[in-house]
Amino acid sequence: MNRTTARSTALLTVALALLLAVPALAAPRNAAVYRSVGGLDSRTVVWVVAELHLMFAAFVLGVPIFAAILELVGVRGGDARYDRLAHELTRLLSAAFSTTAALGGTLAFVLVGLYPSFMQALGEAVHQSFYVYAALFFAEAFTLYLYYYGWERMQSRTPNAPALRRPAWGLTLALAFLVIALMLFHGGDTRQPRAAGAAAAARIGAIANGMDELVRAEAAKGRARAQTDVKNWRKRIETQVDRVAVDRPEGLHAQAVAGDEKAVSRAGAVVLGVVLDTLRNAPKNASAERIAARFKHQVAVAQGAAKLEGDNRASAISAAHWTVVGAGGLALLVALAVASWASGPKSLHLFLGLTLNLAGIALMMIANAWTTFMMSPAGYNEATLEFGGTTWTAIANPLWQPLNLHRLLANIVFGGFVSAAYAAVRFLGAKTDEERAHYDWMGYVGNFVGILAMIPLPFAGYLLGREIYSNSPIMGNNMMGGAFSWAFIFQAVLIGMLFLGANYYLWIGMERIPGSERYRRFIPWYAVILLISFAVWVTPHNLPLSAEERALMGGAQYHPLLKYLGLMPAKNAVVNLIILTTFFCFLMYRRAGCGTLRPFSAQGKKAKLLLGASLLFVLMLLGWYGWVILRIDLADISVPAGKRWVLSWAAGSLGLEMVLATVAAWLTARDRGKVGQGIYFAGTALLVAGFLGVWGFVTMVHANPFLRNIAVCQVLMVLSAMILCGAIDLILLNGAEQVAGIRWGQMPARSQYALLVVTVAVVQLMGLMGFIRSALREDWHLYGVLRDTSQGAGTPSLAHMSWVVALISLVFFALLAFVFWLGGLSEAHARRPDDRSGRSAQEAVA
Amino acid sequence: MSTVPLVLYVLGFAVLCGAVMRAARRSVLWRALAVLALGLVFLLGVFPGFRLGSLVIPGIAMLSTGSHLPLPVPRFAFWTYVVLIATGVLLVVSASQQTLDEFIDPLLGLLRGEGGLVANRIRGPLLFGVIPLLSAALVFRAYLPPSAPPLVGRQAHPSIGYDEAFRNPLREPGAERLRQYGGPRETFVEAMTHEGRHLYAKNCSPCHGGKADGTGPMARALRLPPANFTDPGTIATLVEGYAFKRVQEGGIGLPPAGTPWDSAMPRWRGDLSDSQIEKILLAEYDLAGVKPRVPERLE
Repeated sequence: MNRTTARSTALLTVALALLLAVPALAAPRNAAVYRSVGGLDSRTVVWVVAELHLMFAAFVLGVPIFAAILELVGVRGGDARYDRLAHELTRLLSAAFSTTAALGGTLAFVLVGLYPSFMQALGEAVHQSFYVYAALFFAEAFTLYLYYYGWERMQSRTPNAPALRRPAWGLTLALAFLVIALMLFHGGDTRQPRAAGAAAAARIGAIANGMDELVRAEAAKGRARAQTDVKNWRKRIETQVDRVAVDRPEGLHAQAVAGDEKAVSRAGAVVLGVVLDTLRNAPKNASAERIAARFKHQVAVAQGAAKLEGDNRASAISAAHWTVVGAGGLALLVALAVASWASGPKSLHLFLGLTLNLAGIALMMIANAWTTFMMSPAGYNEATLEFGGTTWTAIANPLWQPLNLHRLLANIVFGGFVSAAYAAVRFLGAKTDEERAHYDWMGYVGNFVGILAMIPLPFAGYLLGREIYSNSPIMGNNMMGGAFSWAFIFQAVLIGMLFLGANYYLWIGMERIPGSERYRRFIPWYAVILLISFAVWVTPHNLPLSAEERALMGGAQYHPLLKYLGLMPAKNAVVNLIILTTFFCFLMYRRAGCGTLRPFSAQGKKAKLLLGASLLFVLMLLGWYGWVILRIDLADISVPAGKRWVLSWAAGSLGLEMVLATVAAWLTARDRGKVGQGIYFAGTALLVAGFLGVWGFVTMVHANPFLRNIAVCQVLMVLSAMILCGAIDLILLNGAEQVAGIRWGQMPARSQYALLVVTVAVVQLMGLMGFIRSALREDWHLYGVLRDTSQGAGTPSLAHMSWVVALISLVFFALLAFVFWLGGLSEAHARRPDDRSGRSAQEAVA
Repeated sequence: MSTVPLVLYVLGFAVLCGAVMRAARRSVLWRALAVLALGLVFLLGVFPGFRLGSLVIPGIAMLSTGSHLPLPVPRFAFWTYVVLIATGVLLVVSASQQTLDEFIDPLLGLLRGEGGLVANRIRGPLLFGVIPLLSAALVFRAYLPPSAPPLVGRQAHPSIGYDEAFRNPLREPGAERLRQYGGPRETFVEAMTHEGRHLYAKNCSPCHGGKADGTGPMARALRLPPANFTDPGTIATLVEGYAFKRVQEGGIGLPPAGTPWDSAMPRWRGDLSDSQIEKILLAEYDLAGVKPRVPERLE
């Protein structure tokens, strides 16, 4: 292990040195230099390395999140199994961490080596974030190794400083409130400067519009005449505004943006300054047309600068706000560190886990900023395409937060399923019942984590897609209707496999739970619902047809029936139904081993509080969105007036959902929790898939843009059902009679192969979606700003993409197997003398 | 589409399902086979090709299109659904050891000659006649040169670069333009739309139809029919810059990323000026009764 540490430290150093050297190594931007290595296509080289790095990084970021949660569960619940599992996961982590770093280093190498001009442009905009990234990398490496190597040593729960505990936790709590308050209360309105920038640009445009002819006329008079007029103009301007306005017009839009009183006249001065500049610097023999064109360009530059100034001011406000929040956050961390230290070594260890995760998430967010900057570059002057923003403008680009959310969830899913696959392989090769029991349980936990994070993932993906569309309609069209629409059918198949595989694993898992027979007979019905939904989910709107089939359909483009299955309302309905069914299956699984449930009236205060709080939350969530819908201005979403009824019905369905939630909670309070759950589940399924599914088609015809809001209604209803039914389930099962314990380890091999299939699907899915996200830029390095003029620029065919993604997945699994084997070497060595872990597993299972 | 035959079709299939599943209730294997068979009936019909013998999808498609013959499920969708049904059956059967055993044991019994599934007297012909012949037929079929026309996986809205900042200057005229025109915005847009209608009638309506519904006199001559603009899945879902570029470039001008090309749309660049196309777009959206998509602004 020491050698591993040394190796990863060396790799870290190389990677960091390389990152820091990026700006220096890169060539000048104008040259657009491209190189290649070994005759390989540079784009594919970067693709493969970046995707492998991403996959390992996803594992390294996803696993500590649930390792830390498992450790906390172990500490709070007093079950040592969780602590051991968290430790084992961290061991996998430290082995994978150095591979991630090595791949990251390789990625930096190939980028700098093969795309120097692009790296120059990227570095120009975001290089300051490289240093923060480097610092965070150290933080993550150090906390990870402390977390892993300090595990055994930091098991004690005896407080270090009992007297300090209370005040330190008090301070932490107070700081936590302060930080939340700081986050919520914005220092200033960022929309205002943006709007001011746009207004200043519009003013400049309006003034210039009238001058167009004037410039043309002046230029036509000839250069000598123009020069004298320039003098006259200059005098006129000088009497109106101060000298600065004429000599340094570029500074003026800043004042205009700031809402200066004389903003209008000053914006006018900018344009006049531009006129002067155009005439003064016009080449001797320039035609009037050319001078006019030059003027037009200059005005566009001034407008671009005004908009950029607005963006920069907005970004400065948000940067200041987040700096204050960050400072508060740091103070909170320090207080938490002191409080954890005072509470004992185990608490400090938990704190390390938290810090590790914070560093990891921050690292991911910075890397996300680079990739989203490539998709939606911010901080460029529209007319000159020169970078004039701040690092924060570039980082806080429009797609940053949606991608952060999407990747965070996806990483947890990935970490969960890869851990489950590890457990499955170990289960299949296990020699003893204890080992089988342990790895069966580990696979179950991995699958559970994977499903749990997978449930909100489609929503996060939908949000990202929506932002991509609003940021660039071209990208949006290419994604859903153009070159990438078929890749989304592949995605649908893989997602379907994931949900089916995860459900199948739960069904088989019920067999090891005595008492589950009551619920197993429903399995075929779950399967029917899932498969019908899956069939709708994978049916493309635009079915591939042969000429013969098309002729049979009377030459129509779409099949008269199946075309409806390919439209958004159908997809939204079934994906929500799949999620709801999966959650329902999971509740059945939980309940399988329970005998008599404990009635609500026999429960304590906590149950009442939980029920009340979750009902209130659900009602607020649904009520809030209903209110939002009712207040929508039809003109805002370009829906014709008189179509308000489409919105009202959707809001009405939210109201009905609120009634259902109240009925479910009321029934639970009257000791009819099961009936309440049933009613709420069935009602939600009917409303989401039945009513809103059909209403989506009505919306498409009458108020198409409102379809986006229907999707949100469906998502919120499903979330509400999961929250309230989950809470009721927790209450019902609290203290319920157990038929017998789960017989861990008594799982057939096929269940483990199901886990492996699910993992393969997840890895392929990540490869596929990574391709789509990156390839959406088509032949742009920085979308709309810096074009890729190299030979490899172009969208690969689907067949080529499939081969490369398959190759990446294979290499990933091979590397992963090797890395896990490496990680297991020390374990095998440690176990030989007295077979400690075997015994502890036995104790744990007992 | 009339409701009565539709309901009869669905009810007929439901009754068939109930009857078949009841008949197959004695073992898991039979139930699995029954589900597969019902799935095939659902997709293919009972007597494929015959008007009254065709249940569910082909039949409903026949009713909805007013055709005289059942409309078969397209090959791509058919195989997708068959694989799904088979996967579902296998998953449910193998979800517990007991059902898996009930599924496999009769098959093993058949191989071992222990009876159960079929009478011993047809076991020999089945194992050594029917199954090998069936396999041979499948292998033979697989090696035949393909006679079916290839499937075309078209893009609904082909990738095509365009100006994202494009706003139809005739739909949103600037102050300068209105000053030159000398009238309010509404009259200006109306006048431009009027000119656009003439241009549309002359250049576009032969294929896209006078009502913009894709049923012009030339439409039936094209293998892939022209777009029906009243369908909310066409121009209403696209921003105007896309429609503008698509008119300019037609099918021929689509870039490689927009392949496979499957569009008979001519390239209008050169024949129509930018402002003519802008007028046509006004008329086209107006005729179809839809509005161009406006990208949502998310904060």
